[in-house]
Amino acid sequence: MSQSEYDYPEEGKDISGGEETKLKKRDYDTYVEEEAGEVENEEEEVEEDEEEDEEDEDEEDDDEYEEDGKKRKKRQFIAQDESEDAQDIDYMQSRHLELNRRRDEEEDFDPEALASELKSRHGRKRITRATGTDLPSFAQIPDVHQPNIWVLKCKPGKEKEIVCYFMKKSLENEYSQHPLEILSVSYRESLKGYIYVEAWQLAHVMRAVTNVNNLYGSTTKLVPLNERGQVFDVRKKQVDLIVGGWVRIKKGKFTGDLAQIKAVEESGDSCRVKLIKRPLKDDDGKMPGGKRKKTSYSSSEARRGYIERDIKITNLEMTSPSMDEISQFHAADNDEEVSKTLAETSLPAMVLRTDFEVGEEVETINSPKKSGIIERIEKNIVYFVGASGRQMEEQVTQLQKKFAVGDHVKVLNGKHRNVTGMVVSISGSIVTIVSDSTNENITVFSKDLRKATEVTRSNNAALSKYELYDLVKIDQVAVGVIVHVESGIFRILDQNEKLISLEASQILYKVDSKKQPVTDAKGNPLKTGDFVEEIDGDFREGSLLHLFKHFAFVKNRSGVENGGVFVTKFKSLLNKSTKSGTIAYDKLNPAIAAIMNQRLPPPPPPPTRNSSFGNRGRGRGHFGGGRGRRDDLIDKTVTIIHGPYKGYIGIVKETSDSTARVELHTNSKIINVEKSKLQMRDQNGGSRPVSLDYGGGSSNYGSPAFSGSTWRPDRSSQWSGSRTPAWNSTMSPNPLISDGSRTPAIHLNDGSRTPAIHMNDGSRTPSWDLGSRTPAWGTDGSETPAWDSGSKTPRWGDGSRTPAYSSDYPGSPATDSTTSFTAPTPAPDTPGFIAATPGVNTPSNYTAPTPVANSKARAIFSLNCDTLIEQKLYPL
Amino acid sequence: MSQPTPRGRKAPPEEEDAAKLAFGEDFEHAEFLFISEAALLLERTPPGQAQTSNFQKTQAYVNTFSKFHNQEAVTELRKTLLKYNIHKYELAQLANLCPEEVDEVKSLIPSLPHKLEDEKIRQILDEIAALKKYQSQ
Amino acid sequence: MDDFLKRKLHTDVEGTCTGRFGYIINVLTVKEISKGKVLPSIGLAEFTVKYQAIVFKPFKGEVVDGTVTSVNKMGFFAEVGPLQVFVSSHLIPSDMKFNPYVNPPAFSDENNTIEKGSNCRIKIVGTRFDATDIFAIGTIKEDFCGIL
Repeated sequence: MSQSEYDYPEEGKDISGGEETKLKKRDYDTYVEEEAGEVENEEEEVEEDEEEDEEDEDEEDDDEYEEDGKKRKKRQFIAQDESEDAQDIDYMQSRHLELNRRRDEEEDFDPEALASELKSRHGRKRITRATGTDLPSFAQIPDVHQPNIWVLKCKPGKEKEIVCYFMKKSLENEYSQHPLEILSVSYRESLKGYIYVEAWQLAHVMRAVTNVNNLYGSTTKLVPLNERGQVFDVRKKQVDLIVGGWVRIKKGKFTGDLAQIKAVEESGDSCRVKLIKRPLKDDDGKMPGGKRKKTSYSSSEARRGYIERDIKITNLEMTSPSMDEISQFHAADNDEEVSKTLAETSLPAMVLRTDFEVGEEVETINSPKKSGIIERIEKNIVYFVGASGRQMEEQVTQLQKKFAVGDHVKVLNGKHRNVTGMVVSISGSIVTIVSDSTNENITVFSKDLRKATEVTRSNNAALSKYELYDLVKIDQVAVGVIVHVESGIFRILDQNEKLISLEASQILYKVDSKKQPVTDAKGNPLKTGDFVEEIDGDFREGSLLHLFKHFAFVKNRSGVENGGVFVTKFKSLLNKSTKSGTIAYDKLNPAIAAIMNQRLPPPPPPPTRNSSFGNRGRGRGHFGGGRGRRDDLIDKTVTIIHGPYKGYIGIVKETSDSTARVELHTNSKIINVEKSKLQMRDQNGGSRPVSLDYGGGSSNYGSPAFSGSTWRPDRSSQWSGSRTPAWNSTMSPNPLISDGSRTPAIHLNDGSRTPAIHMNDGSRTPSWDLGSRTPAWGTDGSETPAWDSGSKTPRWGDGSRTPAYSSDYPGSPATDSTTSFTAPTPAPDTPGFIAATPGVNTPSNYTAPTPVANSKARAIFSLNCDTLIEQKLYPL
Repeated sequence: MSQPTPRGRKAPPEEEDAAKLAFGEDFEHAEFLFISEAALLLERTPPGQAQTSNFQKTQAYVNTFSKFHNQEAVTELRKTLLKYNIHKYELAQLANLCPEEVDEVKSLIPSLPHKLEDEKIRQILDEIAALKKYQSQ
Repeated sequence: MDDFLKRKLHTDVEGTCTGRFGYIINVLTVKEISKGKVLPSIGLAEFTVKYQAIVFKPFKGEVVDGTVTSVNKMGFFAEVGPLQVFVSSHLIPSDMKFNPYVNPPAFSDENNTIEKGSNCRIKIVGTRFDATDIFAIGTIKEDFCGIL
């Protein structure tokens, strides 16, 4: 469009200004990348200064487009029609002549105009030149002294037509009485339904656009100055494709496939790529997000060989494939060639700047080696600081990440994504690591690694319910341990030592192996985590992962096969960690020991049971944070009864000892509320306060009095202490209880005798042991007073189970008596819980000496580990 | 006895590297025990206390690799080595590994040759060897 | 009371492993036990205990002696007390070849054999600290490292 304007001298200078504007805008976008190119162009510019502005523009445009592409692109700007090329050239030539002629004429009678024209033209040029190199980019942003740009709506799809129409009109009216006063018309391919008009005045635009088909003149809007630059912001495609580089194909049959560039066409708009032939039966190559389909071909299929295709650059995407993708690619070669090609795979062709991150240590590929820590990355230049503080910069392609043997790293891409391991060997850009979880060697490119501090146990733990070394149920009879996780596939070692691969959906559920008290070959208790050794066979050793029926799954730290996991019968194991019961309670608390001896002389608590009991305590953690002990409060609807959120209703998302995170119904906001300020809402719309307890499901059981519904091993002392004779005797009619009375630990742990356990077992709620006890009280209401008199009620909190029982098993005969039971114990709710503690202890003098133990004081040792100093040593 | 610094506030932990004698601040004031010293100390542990598998493994380890088996020798060794102005880690390594050649020292304890001339190192090695011989008699 | 805390300390820290101190093998003396502080709303008491202990923490660059516990084609594992060290085949001198056909499997050259039970001098090149364990990578490629 603008060409026509050249014929009008007074406009001419404006035009040159206008052209400049656009050019500068483009420069602005690309100048960093093209510094070199620009310098050249500037030289040319100087030479051609006295010639046609038009030529000038061509040269500038050249920056971005290869010979061929340039012309087309430029035409696009003007007319979008290649077929008009020849015609255009004719026009141009005639116009050039005309322009020259007119200039000569003007010189005579309008020197001032000429002067200003020159000034504007050349003056600005100088600026352009300067900005091209070192002036900040804002200097290139259009200012008020340049023409404005208006945007108009038009019928979508008609943009090109309209621009062409203006071109024609301007040529037609060139010498008429009413030439077009606008400077240019343009549109963007990417923006349907809009065209841009450049002019000095709105009136010019309005005059030009009236009576143009498909153009809605009334929608004319000025493009604000600060947005003007963006209008012509040409996002250049990454065209620096290097032969040997890797690309991914974005369109067509091979979508998502990896390809290697064999040659770039001269035109620069397409290139020849090498691809692996797809298997004939292709289940449509479409992948959401252009992701390469992992299973699209196996290497045997790939053996069919390569094909070469010419593909447009716009359909390609630079990529940096991981080692396994490349080896898969090369797998189509003959085998012996693979290693060769792998080594030959030139890294420079594969590194993208996205592979680097600020803070990483890099080194140059070529000698002399320079290394340093990345400070910033701009375009394709990486700035890094060496050890001596020396600033350096280097092309991305000249760099690789630097690692040292022994570094702990994480794989970022490819098949082994998210695996962590330690570097054992480095050769060029190829790094071998030993996986943390499987002890396998993994070979990857250094670019796909990052130094890591954490250890990943599974590849996508966040996505899956199952983790490495989980015991899972495979089918009705089989269980297995997950020994390897890879992209959603779990490799599971089942109890028959058979390895199977399953997806998450094929796994039935996770099994909790913790509650089976078993003993080893010598009758010592076994628990998960113990260090065990086989007593026959291979004498394998390791730590006990899981127990299932009579099988034991053991993990050997140095094992490679199956991630070091093996299956054996637990009867053939020997527990080597003799200190299995973390702490024997009688040892811990002499008073307890005394009472135990006194109360339960025959038979003295078998050490095995006792210790396994202790183990359990440990396994669960001090505060009920253990696995499977989910706070029953979670997912319950509660009402907040105090504080700024009083009256709000929400759902409990998470809980801690004393607080809960509640998602409010009103605005889905999650807030922290103390549990004491919550009230449960039950089905009937009633509400009950929430007790402050160690994650116990007191909420289930309704009354604040009944807080400690979970069995807390820490309470053992309490528990044993609380078994007053009265209780014992009342209970004795019940065979179960009397049995348990000898060693409460046994009774509690060994709940398996009551069928109720199994019901609860599956759900894995802490209430599993409730059932076993409930019938004891439930069957005989007379126990209640005795129980109550025991003074431990609030502390013990066992009463809580009773209502639970009634609500859980409404059909049970116990129901009635339970309600009566609840009544007499109005005790104590949350605050009372703690307060009650000493009270509980007092009646039983034996507990008094160790208040710490009895108040279940988890002594929190903040450890100040002061290692040995000399004086300590020598008095030895 | 330095107060432990809160982990979270620590600046990015500098690399711990024995070759550079960088052991982190927690171990700045810690004494480096000889394996032999550890063996003697572990021996003294009351039996009830010595039950973890790590303890047992350590005990087995120190018994295997302890080079000096009696109290006097160990005390003498430390006294001897303390004469030289070397880092406590280097000291422990010398006593633990009992190198025989100067080059061996240079390779195993790379920080040491910066401080001492070869003759000095030789001298230390000879003294260690003498002690070792003496105690075994 | 003190007695209880000491016991508790022994049971709680001995045999554990932290990234900070490494393995805490043995508590030698308890130096100081602070006054207990009851934690609000929980009912537990907190005590700060200062103690002296034998700890074992491997450092990168340290040379240690260890006992080989298992050998496979990718390298061998050695135990240095409680610490597990893996020496990858990449970090074993290339003239030592893995021989899977002998029992036990071994790395060997003309003079030396590394098999289960061998004692080996290893230089630690990297450590990894899990929540409950430390794992180290070692090399025997260095001078004066290798079989003892």
